[in-house]
Amino acid sequence: MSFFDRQIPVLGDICQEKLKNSRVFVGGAGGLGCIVCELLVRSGVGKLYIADFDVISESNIHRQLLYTTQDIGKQKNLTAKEKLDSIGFNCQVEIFGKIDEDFLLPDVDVIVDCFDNKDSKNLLSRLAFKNNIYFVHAGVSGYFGQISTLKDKKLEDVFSFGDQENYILPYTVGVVGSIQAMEVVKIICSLKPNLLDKILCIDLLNYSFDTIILN
Amino acid sequence: MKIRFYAVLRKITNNIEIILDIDSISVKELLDKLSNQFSPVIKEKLVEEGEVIKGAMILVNGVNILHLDKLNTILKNSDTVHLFPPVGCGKNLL
Repeated sequence: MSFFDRQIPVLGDICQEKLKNSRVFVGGAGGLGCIVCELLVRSGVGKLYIADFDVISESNIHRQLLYTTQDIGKQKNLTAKEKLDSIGFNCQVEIFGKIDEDFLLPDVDVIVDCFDNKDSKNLLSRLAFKNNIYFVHAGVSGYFGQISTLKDKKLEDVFSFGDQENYILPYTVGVVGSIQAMEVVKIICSLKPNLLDKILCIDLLNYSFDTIILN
Repeated sequence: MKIRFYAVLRKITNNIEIILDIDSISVKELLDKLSNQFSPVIKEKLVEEGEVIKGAMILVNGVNILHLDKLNTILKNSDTVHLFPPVGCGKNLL
């Protein structure tokens, strides 16, 4: 028996081995970040880097599934690492605080955008573009979410983000974060179709999912 | 021309997608037409002082109009237009 007996028949041995040897950088350990990190650790990813400098607050708990009310006031990155380590899988989790333009990006296969603000999203996208690394972006707002993978484009070439206050439902975060984790696995294992140069738009109010091809 | 609405624009128009039989009009003229047909709020969500509002996104056949001729981009009847209000519009749905 192995931890992955139920998924290897679907993904295959080769994919599972690729996951074990993979390194993923996750920007943001909030709603999306908690889901993405937990699913990637449970998928068998070998190394996870997480960047977040925020502390856990009361309004985070309804959607940030790695944290409980006992964690309020604690650092998100430290708490996330503690919870992910406690799963007991052989995934090395390394954490960072705030990142800037001079941040020395570790050698990774995929970068995942789980940040909640435009400046951090665009910064991470520029780092990915500069280093020619797959960038899996997601954003959520109310009932709506979007996921997109870019490699030869920067986020700001396609998307435009405002400064509007955001309101978020845990269900949207759960769906979007899960698809984002699936997309990371697809990129690592070269499974197609993926969301490279596409936007998957999710609308949980109308239960509509549609894909826009970016030109 | 296929026009797809996202987020709060779906609630305002009560539509996910509409088809219009029009040709050779600018994005600005299309938004005027949609505002007349549904609600002026459509234009308010997307345009401010003659520019696309920061955070809103208008794609024509998968290309952001900021990389085309912005609001003066001319549309063909065969085009698909995607209209996204600014991220952070969730409060408008509550």
